[in-house]
Amino acid sequence: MRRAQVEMMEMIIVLFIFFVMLAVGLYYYYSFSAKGIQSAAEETKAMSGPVLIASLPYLPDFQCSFGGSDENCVDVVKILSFDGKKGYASLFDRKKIYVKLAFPPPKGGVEDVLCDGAKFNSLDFPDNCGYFLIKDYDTKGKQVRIFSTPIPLYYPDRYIIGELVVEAVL
Amino acid sequence: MRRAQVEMIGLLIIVFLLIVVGFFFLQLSKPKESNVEAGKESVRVNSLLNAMKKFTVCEGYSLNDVLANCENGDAAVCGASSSCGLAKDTVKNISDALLVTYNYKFVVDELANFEVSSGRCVEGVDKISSAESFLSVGGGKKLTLSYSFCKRAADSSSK
Repeated sequence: MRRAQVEMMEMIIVLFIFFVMLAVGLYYYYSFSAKGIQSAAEETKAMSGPVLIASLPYLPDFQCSFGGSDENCVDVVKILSFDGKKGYASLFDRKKIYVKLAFPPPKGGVEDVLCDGAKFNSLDFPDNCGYFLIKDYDTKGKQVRIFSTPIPLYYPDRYIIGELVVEAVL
Repeated sequence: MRRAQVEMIGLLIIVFLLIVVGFFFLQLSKPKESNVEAGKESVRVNSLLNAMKKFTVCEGYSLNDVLANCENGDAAVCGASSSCGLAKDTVKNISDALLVTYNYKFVVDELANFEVSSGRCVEGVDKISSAESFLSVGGGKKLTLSYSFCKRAADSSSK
């Protein structure tokens, strides 16, 4: 081979290596970018849990109101009368939401007993149950993130502390 | 130097530069710390302070009322001889029940010696979440309630 041919070959090899490296670089750049976008999407989705626990006590279907003015608490009567079908489908999507009685703690043995209308009308309420269900969703065997926060719960005669729990299926 | 040696050095420089660029790229693409945990804790501390203030200590008396009594002469209330003592006990009972894996501190700025705490949160070491709230106690006076907590060292790793 002549020298010019050798140099042509050398140039072709250099260009080939350059493009291979460029392709590898672009591949990694885009895969990292895609990962970044994906993790941002996951973070946004995960943030819906804290946003929900912060905002739910202020939804008109749960917030206490006395004589037309809103109070910073959750009314147990409103929880019991909540039918779950009032336009919260997207907010509550793939989530189990409930309120545990946290302080004073429920008496032994009733922590897992649902507080429903029948229990509410019973004379031994609230000592006969341990939690109020806002929205049910089967989370068993699924990957869930659990968010919880204390909230003031208004019983007709007093305030106690409940724990609002959101189990969000990933 | 021969031409081959010069080209070798050139290649080495290119490889070195590629490594440096790759290193910076990896550094930049390192995942950032999640905002979700910080969001959760911030909501928790504010909600707990709010829930605590409203909590009915005994018939007709919320913790707010007991604290106001504490400021206004420490009168007997709810069967307890000292409203300050009752307020402290209530804060401690609630915090111990709801912040099992946390160190916490509750302070009322205007009341001397009104501090309820468990463990210690170190600024710059622990991730401290805090909230502040004001309580009007009549006569134009107000109390500043400060509540802060952090995960206990043994629990902070088990998220």
